Amino acid sequence: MRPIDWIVLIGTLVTIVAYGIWKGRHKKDLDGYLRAGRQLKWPTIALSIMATQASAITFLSTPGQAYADGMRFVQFYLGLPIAMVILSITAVPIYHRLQIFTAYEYLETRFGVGTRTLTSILFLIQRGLSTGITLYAPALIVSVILGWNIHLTNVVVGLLVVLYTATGGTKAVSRTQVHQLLIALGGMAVALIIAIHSLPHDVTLVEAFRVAGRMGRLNAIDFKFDPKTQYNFWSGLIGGAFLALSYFGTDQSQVQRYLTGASVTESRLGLLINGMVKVPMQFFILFVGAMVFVFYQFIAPPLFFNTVQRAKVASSKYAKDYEQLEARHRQQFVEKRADVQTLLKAMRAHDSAGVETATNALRLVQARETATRAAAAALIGRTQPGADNSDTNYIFLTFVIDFLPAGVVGLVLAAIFCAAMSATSSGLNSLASTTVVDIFRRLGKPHATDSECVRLSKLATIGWGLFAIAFAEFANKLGSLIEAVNKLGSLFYGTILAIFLLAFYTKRVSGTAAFFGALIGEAAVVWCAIFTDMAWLWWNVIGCVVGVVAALLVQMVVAEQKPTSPTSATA
Amino acid sequence: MTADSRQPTAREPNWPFLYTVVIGELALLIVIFYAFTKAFA
Repeated sequence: MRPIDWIVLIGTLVTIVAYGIWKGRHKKDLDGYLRAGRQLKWPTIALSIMATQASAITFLSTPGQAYADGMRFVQFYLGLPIAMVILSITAVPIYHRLQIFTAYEYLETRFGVGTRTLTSILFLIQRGLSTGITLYAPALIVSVILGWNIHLTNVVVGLLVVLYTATGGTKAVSRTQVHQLLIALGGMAVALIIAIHSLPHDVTLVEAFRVAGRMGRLNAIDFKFDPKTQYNFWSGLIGGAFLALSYFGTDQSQVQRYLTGASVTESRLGLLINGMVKVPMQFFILFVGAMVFVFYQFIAPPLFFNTVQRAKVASSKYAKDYEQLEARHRQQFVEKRADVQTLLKAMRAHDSAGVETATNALRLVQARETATRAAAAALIGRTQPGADNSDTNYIFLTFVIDFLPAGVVGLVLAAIFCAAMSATSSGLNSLASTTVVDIFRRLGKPHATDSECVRLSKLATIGWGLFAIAFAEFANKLGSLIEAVNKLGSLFYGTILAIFLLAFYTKRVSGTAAFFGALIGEAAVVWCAIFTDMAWLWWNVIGCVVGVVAALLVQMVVAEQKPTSPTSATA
Repeated sequence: MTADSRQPTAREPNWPFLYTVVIGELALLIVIFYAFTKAFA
C-alpha cells in the first residue's frame, strides 16, 4: 500500500462514517429510529436493498468463484426477479397496511405469539451469525495483504459500523448504503477496465472472451437438471426463487429496508428495481473474475493465492513437497501459455480444426494445473489441520494488490470496506429491531415508552455488533465466504418462508399447526444437510414444502382449534 | 403520521405492466446469457 492508497482508503471510510452520523443526528422516536420515519423514496430503497445483499463477500468471493469455476454462479440469482414480483403483489401491501416494525409482528396477527417468537429467534440466530461472516471478509483482506492482526481489524471495522448504526438508526444505514454501493461498483468497474487494459496488446477483447469461454469460464447458463449440481438453471430459478422469497420477504434485514418506504408504491418500486438490476450486476462482478482469469493466462499466477498459508507451508516439513508442486505449476503455466497462443493463432486464421485441437490441449493442461492446485491445497490442509485450504477469496485481492496502480488499490479496498460496512450495518439494524420489538417489547415490557425502546435499540445494536465481531473469529474455517453465508441462510430460510406462506395464503391453519409444521420443516432441512449430498439451494425448497405440508397435516389432527382471522387481530 | 393520511403518489404506476417488464427482462437476460455461453464455449 502506497501513501495515496492510504489517503483514498481512510478518506473514503472517514467520510462515509461521518456522513452516516450526520444524516442520523436528529433525535428520533422509535418510528424515526427503526423505519426512518417512513419517508424514503424508491431510489434510496432500491440501492439500500441491493447494498444490504451485496456485502464485501460479494465483491471478494464472487470474482474468485468465476476464476475457479466460471460464471455459472450467476444462475443462483435467476429466481430473484420472480420473487420481487411476488413480494410486491403480496407482502408489501400487507406490511404497509399493518404498519409493522418487523416482519415477525405480522405473524402474531395470524398465528399468535409463539410462532412470532420462534421465527424471530430463528432470524436472530441466522442473521447474527451471517453478520459475523460479513464483518470477517474485509478483516481477512488486510490481515493477509497488510499483515495486520485479524482480531484487531475485526474490532476496528466492527466498531466503525456500530458507531453510525447505533447513533443514526435506519435512516443513517439507508442513506450511507446509497453511497457505499456506488463506491463499491465504481471500484469494481475500475478493476475491470484495468484487467482488460493489462492484457497483452495483441489480444483483443473478443479474443479474451473466446479464451475464457474455451476454458469454461463464461458458462453462464446450464440447462441440465441435476439435483446434486450446485448451480444450474433449475436450481437457480426454483431454489433461488424460494431463497429470494424468504430472504427479501421474511428476513428483517431486507424487510426493514422497504418498510421505510413513504408508500406502497415507493416500496414496490424499490423491490422491482432490485429485481431488474441485481442479475446484470452479479453478471458484471463475475465477469470481472473471468477477465482476471484471462489475465492470469498471460502472467503466471501463484500456485496458492493465500500468502499467509503459503508462508506457513514453506516453513513446515512439507516445504520441499510444496516447492516441487510450485515447479510443476510453473511448467504447466508455460505449456498453457503456449497453448493459448496456439489457440489465438488458430482463431485469427479461422482454422476451426486448429481451434479444436488447441482447445483440447488447453483443457488437458488446465485439468493438470487444477490437480496441482488441489494437491497444494491438500498439502496446506495437512500442514495446518482445520485451516482454510481454499484460496477462492484471495484471488481477486491478489490481482488488485499486485497489478493495480497507486490510488486505485486504495479505491478498491475502500469499495470492499464500504460493501462490508453497508451489509453489516443493515444486519445490526435489523437485529436490534427484532430484539426490541419482537422480544423485549412483546415478551418483556409491553408498555415500554418510545424513548426506552430507542435507547434499548441502540444498546442492542452495540450488543449484536460485539456478537458479530466475536463470531467473525470463527469465519476463517468456512471456505468460500459467499457460499458460507448463503448456505447458512438456506438452513433456515425455507422454514421461515413456509410460516409466511401459510400466513399469507391459508385461512384455516392455526398457530399450533404452523409452529409444529415449522419445527418439522426445520428438522427435514437439518436431516438433508447432515445425511445427504443434496445441493444446498434445494434446502430452501425442502424446508418450505415440508413445513407447509406438515402444518396442513397437523392442522387436520388439531382441527378443533379455531383459526384467528388475519384482519381482526392487531399487531 | 399514519399510512392512510399520507399523500398518495402523484401517479400510480401500471403494476401489471411493470411486473411484465421485470419478468420479460429476466427472460431476455436468460436468452442473452445462454447465447453468451454458446457463443464463446
